[in-house]
Amino acid sequence: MRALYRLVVLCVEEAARGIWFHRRVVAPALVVMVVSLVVLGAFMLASDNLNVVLSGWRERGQLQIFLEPDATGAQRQAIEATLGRAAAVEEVRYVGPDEAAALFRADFAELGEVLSLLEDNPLPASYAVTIAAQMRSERVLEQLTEEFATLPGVDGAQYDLQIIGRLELGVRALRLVGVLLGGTVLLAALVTTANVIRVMVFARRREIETMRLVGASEAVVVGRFLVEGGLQGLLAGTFALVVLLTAYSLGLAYLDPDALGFLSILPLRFLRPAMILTLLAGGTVTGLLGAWLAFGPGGVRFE
Amino acid sequence: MIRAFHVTKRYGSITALRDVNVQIRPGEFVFLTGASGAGKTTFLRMLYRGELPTSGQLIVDGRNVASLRRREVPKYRRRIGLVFQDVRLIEDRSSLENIAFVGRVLGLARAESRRRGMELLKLVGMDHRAELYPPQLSAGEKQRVGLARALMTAPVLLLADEPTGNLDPDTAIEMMRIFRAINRRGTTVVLATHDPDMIAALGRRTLVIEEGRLRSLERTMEQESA
Repeated sequence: MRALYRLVVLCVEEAARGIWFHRRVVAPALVVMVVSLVVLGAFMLASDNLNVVLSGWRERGQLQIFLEPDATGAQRQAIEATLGRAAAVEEVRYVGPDEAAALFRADFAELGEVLSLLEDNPLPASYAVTIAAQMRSERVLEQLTEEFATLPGVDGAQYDLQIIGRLELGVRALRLVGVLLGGTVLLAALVTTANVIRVMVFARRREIETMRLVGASEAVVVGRFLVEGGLQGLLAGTFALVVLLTAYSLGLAYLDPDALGFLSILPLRFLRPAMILTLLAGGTVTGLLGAWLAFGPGGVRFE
Repeated sequence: MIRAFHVTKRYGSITALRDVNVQIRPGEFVFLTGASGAGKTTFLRMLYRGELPTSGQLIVDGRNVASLRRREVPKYRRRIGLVFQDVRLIEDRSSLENIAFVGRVLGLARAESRRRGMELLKLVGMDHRAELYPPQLSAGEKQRVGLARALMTAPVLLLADEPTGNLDPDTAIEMMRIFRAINRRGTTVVLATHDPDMIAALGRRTLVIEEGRLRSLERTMEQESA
């Protein structure tokens, strides 16, 4: 156990020393890796924030029933009675055209002005129906929407999950783009790291040969370069997090929330600890793989 | 310590060593000599398993060199100290770090490695240069640090390939004095050189390699020619 500990300490020390002494060679690989991790991190940040919004909407479990402009009082009473009988309905709130306009102005400050330019308020009256928590499934919501949409005086019905579904699709697409883009750059980082390690191995060929001749095991000879790759990745992950946090903080400090359009509805939070660890681990594994490639098939061979 | 039975080494169509038979006893000091390209380095390389014999048996410290498995080689080499003509010190480490590094590679703690490193530097008279880097050392000083490094594993066999080749006569004599001191402690020494004066001065058994064939001279070459 002690021998293993000493081996690890030696490898870490040698790796740190190697990175410092060959910092000019290491720098390009580090930059490529930082860029790739920043790209991945940025997509993780965006999709995570969107997910927060989506889960908030999902928890709301709301359904909107829009009334026809000429819906009569009797029709409204019949609708309210139907809603009152439905077991899945927890709460019903009537939203008149004026309240709808006020909500629109509050949610979309810039677009709200457009309403003032119109002679009539185009927003219809509606019922905001909250579904009981235990009934909030896509199937139930779909069924209720279909049922309520056919009631006399109802223009249409829509539930949040439809919007959520579309947004989820968007988030998934965003994530896919992030993985593809980040993955491509990460692959480039992996190859660059492998080449940098290869250069470093060649630069220290004599040293390695000497190590072998004095009886160093392959665990020591190869281990230090593997650790070096891993350490480079960890460094890159740390730098990437610093870049992301700086960009995020600057964005929060200097960007006008109104200028963000629909993004202004995001609660905006930085990467969660698990994502930070994922990013750091991603960098470390990439570095390790790069170093392993340097010694793997087609890698450095000399005796 | 070393027994070679009909050892032959070929590189393609070139035969570097031909039917070598020799025995070197534990604690012996042996010179290995011959013209450049005669096969001295090849023989030494086979002893530390840098090369494998094409045919024949080579037994070193009770181990058949050819049958060593790859993972057994590091352990085997820890029993052998190597001194090279070009020394091979790591340029960005001090004299002491160069030696202590071997200790650490072999699993010793940092403090223990440095302590033993200092002892060995003292043995070769280089303790006052412990913190200097290879570029700050003379050729003779580098060679002494290289020798101290070879001793870090407390080897039973010390192989030296032209260790005095780049040294002035006075420094070379000083080096030989150190080799003899190490040999007196019980370490078997095989020293390759083509310096007849040195062989004559020490008067030890000499193995001569000529065109790949090895013969053993019990007396020095000078004594023989006289």
